[in-house]
Amino acid sequence: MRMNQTMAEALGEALRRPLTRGEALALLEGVRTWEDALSSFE
Amino acid sequence: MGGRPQLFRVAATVRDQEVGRTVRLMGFITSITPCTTDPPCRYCWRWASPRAFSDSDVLNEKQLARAARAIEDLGIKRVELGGGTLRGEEGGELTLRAAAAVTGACKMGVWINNGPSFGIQHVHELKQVGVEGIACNLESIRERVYEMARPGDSLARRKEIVEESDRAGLLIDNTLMIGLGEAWEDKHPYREWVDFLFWLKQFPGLKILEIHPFRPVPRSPMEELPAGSPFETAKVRAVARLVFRNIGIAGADEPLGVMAGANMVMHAVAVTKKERSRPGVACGPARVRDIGDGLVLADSLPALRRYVEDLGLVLEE
Repeated sequence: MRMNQTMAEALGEALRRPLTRGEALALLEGVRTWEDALSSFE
Repeated sequence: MGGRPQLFRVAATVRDQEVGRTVRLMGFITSITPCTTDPPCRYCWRWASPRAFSDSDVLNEKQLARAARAIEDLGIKRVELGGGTLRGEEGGELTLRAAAAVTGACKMGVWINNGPSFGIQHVHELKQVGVEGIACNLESIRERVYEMARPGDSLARRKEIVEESDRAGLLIDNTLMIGLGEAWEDKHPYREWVDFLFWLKQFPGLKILEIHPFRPVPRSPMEELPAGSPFETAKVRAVARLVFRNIGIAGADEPLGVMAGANMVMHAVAVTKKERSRPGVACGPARVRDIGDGLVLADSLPALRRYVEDLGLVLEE
């Protein structure tokens, strides 16, 4: 749940500004299936 | 999006906002230098085809000019000159002569992609002859991967050339190879991939990023290692779009690449000597025609036009 929230926040911010190193890593580690890449993290 | 962000959709949205929905194209001419790396990289095409990157592959200056004009006639705006790593003073001299032959024959932006065939002193000379950018591809940023997969090469030397290219005011293209050096039992090295992206982020001249999966080459010492994952490749392309925003990201010749925010296709049109294998695009095939003087041109524009239109994007013309 916590990871999903972090990724959702990072992606929301990514519409406005570049990802930080920590956000980039969290997304690569957190997106584990193709559904993750296409669906929300709520 | 209704407050429900999704990695690929966000990456594609940022692509559309920052650089639009036009797919940018790179032409390709190879080879400008033979490869003398010893031992050869353990995943190189030299294992499958001894002719690849040999002396017989190399175009002379007249052929290079002819190749450049043929590519430019098709409306291509930039071209990369590919080759193997030729060490020593000869590598630098041959690269400079090739670059000058092409910049003198066309108005396209000219990029150099032949590894560390030249030293940092040549970087400034390449700029002087009109080169626009340099692709000295790292493929991995881990020394351990170089020791295992590229024992005849040097990560430090490649990094120096990238650093000097930026100092010289040249643009930068670089490649990350997803899965290079991974064994079957390994977990994906996410931290390494992020380190790669953020090492490149220091260079304002970074304009093109290529993120490709490792493809095991038949008869190479690494032929039985796992191929790089197309899905992990797409994830890294999407994250790269969200890190770099407005650069060219290659991989737009694959639907997954487009969904992940790619906007560029390398090798859209390629010229080689007749007998050589030719790079192409994922949505191929290319139309191959003889352009004289022992050269052939592989034109992937017809395939790209159909494919890009099907996806609702626009091809750079």
